[in-house]
Formats: sequence, structure tokens, C-alpha cells
Amino acid sequence: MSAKTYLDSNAGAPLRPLVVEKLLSVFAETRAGSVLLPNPSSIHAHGRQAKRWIAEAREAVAASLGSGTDPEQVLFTSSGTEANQQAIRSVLEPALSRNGRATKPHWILTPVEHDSVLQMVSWFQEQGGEVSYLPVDAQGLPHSSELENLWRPETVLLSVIAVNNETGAITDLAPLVQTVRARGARIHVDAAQAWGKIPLDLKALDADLVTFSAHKIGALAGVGVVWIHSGVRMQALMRGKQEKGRRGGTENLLGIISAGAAAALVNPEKWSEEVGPWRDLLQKKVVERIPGTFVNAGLAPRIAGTLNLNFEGVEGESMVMALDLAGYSVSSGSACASGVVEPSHVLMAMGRSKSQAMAAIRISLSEALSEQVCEDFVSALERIVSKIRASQGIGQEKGRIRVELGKEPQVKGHAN
Amino acid sequence: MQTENRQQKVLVAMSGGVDSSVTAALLKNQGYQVIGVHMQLWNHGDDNAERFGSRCCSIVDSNDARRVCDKIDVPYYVIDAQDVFKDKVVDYFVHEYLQQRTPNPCVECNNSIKFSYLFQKADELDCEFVATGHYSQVVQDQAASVSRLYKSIDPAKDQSYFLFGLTQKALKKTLMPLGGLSKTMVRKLADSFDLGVSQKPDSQEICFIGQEGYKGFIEKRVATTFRPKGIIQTVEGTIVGEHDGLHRYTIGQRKGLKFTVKDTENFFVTGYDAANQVLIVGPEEQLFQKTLIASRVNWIRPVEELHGIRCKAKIRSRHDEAACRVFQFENGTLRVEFDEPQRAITPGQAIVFYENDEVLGGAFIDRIGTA
Repeated sequence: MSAKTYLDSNAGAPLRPLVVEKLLSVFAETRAGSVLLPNPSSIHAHGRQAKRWIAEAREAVAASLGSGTDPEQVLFTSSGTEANQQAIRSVLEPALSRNGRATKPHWILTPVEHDSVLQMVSWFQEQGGEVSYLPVDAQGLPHSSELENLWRPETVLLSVIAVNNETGAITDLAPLVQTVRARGARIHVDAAQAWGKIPLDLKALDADLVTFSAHKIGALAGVGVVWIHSGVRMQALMRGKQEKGRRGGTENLLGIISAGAAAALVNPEKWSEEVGPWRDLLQKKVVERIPGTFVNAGLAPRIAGTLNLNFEGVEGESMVMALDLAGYSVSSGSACASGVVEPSHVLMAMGRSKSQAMAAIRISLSEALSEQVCEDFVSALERIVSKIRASQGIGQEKGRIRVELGKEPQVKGHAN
Repeated sequence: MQTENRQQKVLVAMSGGVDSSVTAALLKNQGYQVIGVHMQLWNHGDDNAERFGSRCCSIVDSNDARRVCDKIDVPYYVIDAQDVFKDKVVDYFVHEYLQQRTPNPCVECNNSIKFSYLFQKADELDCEFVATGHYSQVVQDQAASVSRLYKSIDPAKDQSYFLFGLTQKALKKTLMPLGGLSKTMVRKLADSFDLGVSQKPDSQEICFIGQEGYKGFIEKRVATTFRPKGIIQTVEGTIVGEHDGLHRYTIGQRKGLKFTVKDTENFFVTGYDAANQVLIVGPEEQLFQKTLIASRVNWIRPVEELHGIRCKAKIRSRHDEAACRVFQFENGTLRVEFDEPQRAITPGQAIVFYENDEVLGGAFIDRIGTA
């Protein structure tokens, strides 16, 4: 079997070599001959060492989030999901008890949030809260002007994704933050896919809670981060003395060290320069060679590594399977527990049909490609798209389907 | 033959059970490039969590299939067929009962899901073949240039009845490697391949019906207006009781009938008067009939003579096949005349025709009698 090519870094970026080195050096430092991972809460020398590593990691993470960011504002969790859910609960739970039964607190979020945020909608509604969705345009981006229509006196929180994990579209956060600030509510920004990919200056941004996920920047999975604006009170999901009482449970020492090491390496400008041309080349080749290509969020400002594609006449979940069989790991929508591909809620919010939202593929890069990989991938994609089109009854007889980048395909009449 | 097949791509439909697991392992051993696919057909909801493992359709089964694919080192995917399953199988199932017909959802699932929807997916994935764990034999008859379908060599497990809807197009691409094996042998193979599924029980009931049973399933989905109560009569018109909605009774049934008069203990359901929502009952001898009308026929391969085909037929899956003569009208409708009267010919069920061990084809029973 030929070598597999990994094009799914938004799901999990490869560990950075310097991160691996750092982890190996930890083993060397703790104890010669065997691996020791001390408990950072212990008062002895080993424990103090572990605590120091965590402090260093916290400093590195804080430094990567903009100038003058205080490490004390950085809270480590077990995942991006936990970070999002803790951030949301920390604002919504007090609002629920504050309002009692008299008025229902109100939360606004976009329909293109990550599933870990959307999962909180049913929780909040069960608790008596009310939810509105801030609409997005055809590129999947929300606009602050739309907030006016949704705003209520009871609105306590806006949650918004900074960079969409599926399309790479970058939200213009500043006007949203200003609008929410002016109205005295809180704003939570899910910046998991922004870390290391666009320059961040959290102090200037002035949002209340900003969340991150370490394995998106080449650290180990199992570490999330909440950046907390001073004055915002956090509610612990798990009670305990760790993380200043904001998150109980023994710290994930290796994970946190790796997060610090990876954070020290982030350089969005350099990364974009390195990866961007390859994404652009891939996009150019695909659009030129495969008629009926539609670049999702192609007109939006996007991070450098992400390319989300639909192909006219290609529906259902076969794309990602066929590409896997050809040796390319890309993603589509998300999968439920049994492994079934679910249509992307992001693309559906952008106006795609259910079966188109299942057929979209996301290519995401963390590093430069080679000409050869690029060429081979596009050839495989070309072959697979025509096979599926032929199978689904969209033959070549229709001639070349011309599609302008980011515009709706001109040819109608596919199934459904 | 095996070398010829080397690296031909085959999509194996994997339920997570013993049969499809062994199918995948056998084909892998024979040198095929195997792709395991599990179809999610139905969401059982929270009510049946204990039986089905969780909210999603059979996560346990999907995980079993995944483990088997890991074991034999082949790719594994789950595809969502819930919409098409609900449309083609579940809705059909409910509608048939509301029309006083007794459906066979497994036949419909084979026709619309396994041998059509799944074939479409296989084609998209560029697979030459689709394989299933059915106990039935597919033979490519090169001399006659037709594909033929035969019974399993294990009469207790034979599933050919459910497969009469297969077309030549589908059969040419179908592999059923278990048709030449007994169930005992298949369990042994599962053990020797160490697939971890050798002791899983056979599935018996309709896969989407949970503890509520088929009546409860229908009643949950259909307003009482469409399944009213009514009276029970004999064929002579004597009122002998009341029924709880015609969907609850099938021809030949004796249990669960509420009679209000005496001398009815040997009465069976013999028919319906749908216009008046009346259930017709009578003594057992009224269940025996010699002729029926069927439609939606599929002949698997061209049959020798279109007028008066001599063959044997099964009128339900557990029926001893009986000799008959089949007449086909120009509109495709069939009239079937059995040599001997058959018990409880049931509209909605499939009638499947055999010549020795070969399946000739089949159709769906519409009416008892010749009209």
C-alpha cells in the first residue's frame, strides 16, 4: 500500500519536533533511568519542578496571545470542548440564578459554532434560558449590524467563532466586541483555529473569554485553554484546588508542557507565508482542472491552510471515503459515535443542501507541501470526482461547468 | 480463479454480525481488496437503549464491524441510509398494514437498500463487487450468459426467498460466499479467524421493531382515525366479535381474537372487508386456497415459457414450497395455480418461484382467488 498523505491538520496538527524534544528533555530532567511525572501540587522538590514547568507553559501560552497578556489570565482545561463549555457556563449559569423565574436570560451565538459550543444550547434551554442565532452570510460570516435585531435587555452573552474550523473563514471580531461591550453583555470567542494562524492581541481585542485547543498548534491533545478577561468570574465544572480553584483534577503535566512548547513556537505571519502558497496552488489547480468546483467561503478572508470544496453533482459521503482509499486523509462534516458522516452544519448554515453538506471536503495544511504531493492529490481528486459524477448520473456530456470562484454553480438540475 | 480475482475491489455490507464478518474475512483471504461498510438504517431512540446499546442505530453492532475490519486490516466506513430506509422500508411497512396487507420488510430492504442504494455507493467507490453474508448462492453461468441465484446448501438457513428481487445487473456484481456453507461452519470460521463475533446470536426479528412490537410501532405512528376498531364477521355475515383495528390481524391468525359468541374457538382470520373495516373469520378449511394474483414480478433470469410455467413456489419465508403453474398477463400481473390448496395465502407477502434449487423470481401477492 502506498504511503498515506495527511491533509487534516485542522482536526489535529502533527506534533512539532521541538515539542517532542521538549517532552523528551522533561524525562531526562525528572529522573535518570525511568520516567517520573511529579504531581505539581506536591511540596517537595519534584513537585516544585512540575509546578515550575506548568508556570513556564502558562507564560509561553500567555505570550503567544498578544503583548502584555498576564499568565494569570490563562486557565488550562482538558480540551477545547471543556474550555468552551466552562466559558459559556461561567456566564450563563449565574445569569440563570440571578434572573430567577421572572425573566429568561438570553444567549446569542452563530449557527457556525463548533459542536462543543452548540451542545450547550439544549443545556441552556433546559435550564430555562433562551437562545438566538446570529445569522451568517453565504461565506459563513456574522455581522455586528445583525446583532441589533436580536438584542434583548436579557441578552447576557454572545459566542462567536474566530476562525471557522471547517472553512477557515476569519470573523471580523472587533465590531462584534464593541457592540456587545457597549451593551454591557459578555462575549466569548472560540479561537481554537485562530491560534498560531492569525496574529492575536487579546488585550486589544478586549473580549471576555477566549478559548483555545493545544493540539491544533502541534502540541499533545488533551489541553484546552481559557483566556479570562480580568474581572470575569469563572465557575468550576470540576471542583478542586488546582488552577486556582477554577478547575479541579491533577494537571495534565505532559500535555501542558507540550502546549507551552508549541505556544512558544507560534508565528502566524511566518506560518501563513509558508503554507498559504500551497493552499492557493491546490485551489488553483483544482478549480482549473475540475469543472464545477465550488470553494466554500472562497470570498471570505481565510486562514492560510484551509480549503473547503464542493463539486457540482457530487453528493453524499463517498468523497472522503474514496479519497481515503486513494491514500489521502481529508475530512468532511463530522462523524457521530457510530461513525456515520453527518452533514456539515456550517455549510448548511451557508445555504448548502444536506447532501451537498455531506459531500464537501476540507483540506487543511499545517506545513508546506511538495509539488509532487500537490499534483498527485489533484489528479486523484479529479479521478474520484469524475467517477462519482458518472456514478451519480452527471456525465461529461454536459460539457464544462463553469463556476466563478465563490459564486453559486451555474448548472442546476442535480438530484434532490 | 483466486489469482484472477486478486486485488479486485469488493464492498462488503457489514452488520456487525457473524455472517457478514466471516464474509469479509473469507474474501480478504481470497485476495480481494475488501472495504467494510456498515449502513446506519434506523435510530432506535432512547426507549430501546438497553437492547440496542445507545441512541444511535446499533453503535454496538457498528463497533463490532469496526473491530472485525481492524482485525482483518481493511478500511471501514459507516454510511447513513436512514432517510432512504425510512422512505423505502419503514413507511412501506406501515402503509402495507394500513391496506390490510402483511409486508415483508426484509425483501424490501434487499431490493431498495442493500442491492440498490448500497450498489450506488459501491460504484462511487469504484468497487467491482458487493458482497453480503446471505445464505444463498450466486452463480455466473458463462455458457448461458446469465447470473443465477440458488438456495443455500444449508436448508435451515437458506435466505434465497428474500432475494428474489435481484436483477441481472446486480447479480453480476454480487458475491455471497456463505451460500455454500452451513451456519455451524460459519461460526467455526468466525472462531478460527478470531473475529470475536462467533457467539453473537442470530438476528430474528424485524430490525427496526423494538420492544413495542409491530402493532405498537404502527400505532405510535398512525392516528386512530386511520386504524379504526370494527366488527368481526363470518363470511356469511354473522357478527361474532369486535376487533381493535385491522392492522392487528393477519390471515391465518387465531390468537388475540375477541369473540362475543360461542362456537368460534376454532376460527381463524380468513380475510378483510376493507371498505367497511370488517375482519372476516372462519373455520380453518376456509384458509386453504388454490389460486392467487400477484404483481410487481421480477424474473431473475429469462424463464422458458411465459404461459404456464411449471415450478414450485413459496408464499412466505417459512412455507414448504408447493408445485404450481404460473400464468403471466400482458400487464405483468401473475395468476398462480397451485396443484394443492395452500394454507393462509396472505396479500402483501412475497411469492417466490423455484426450479429445483434455483430461484426463478418472485412477486408480491395481491389477492386470493382468480379475479
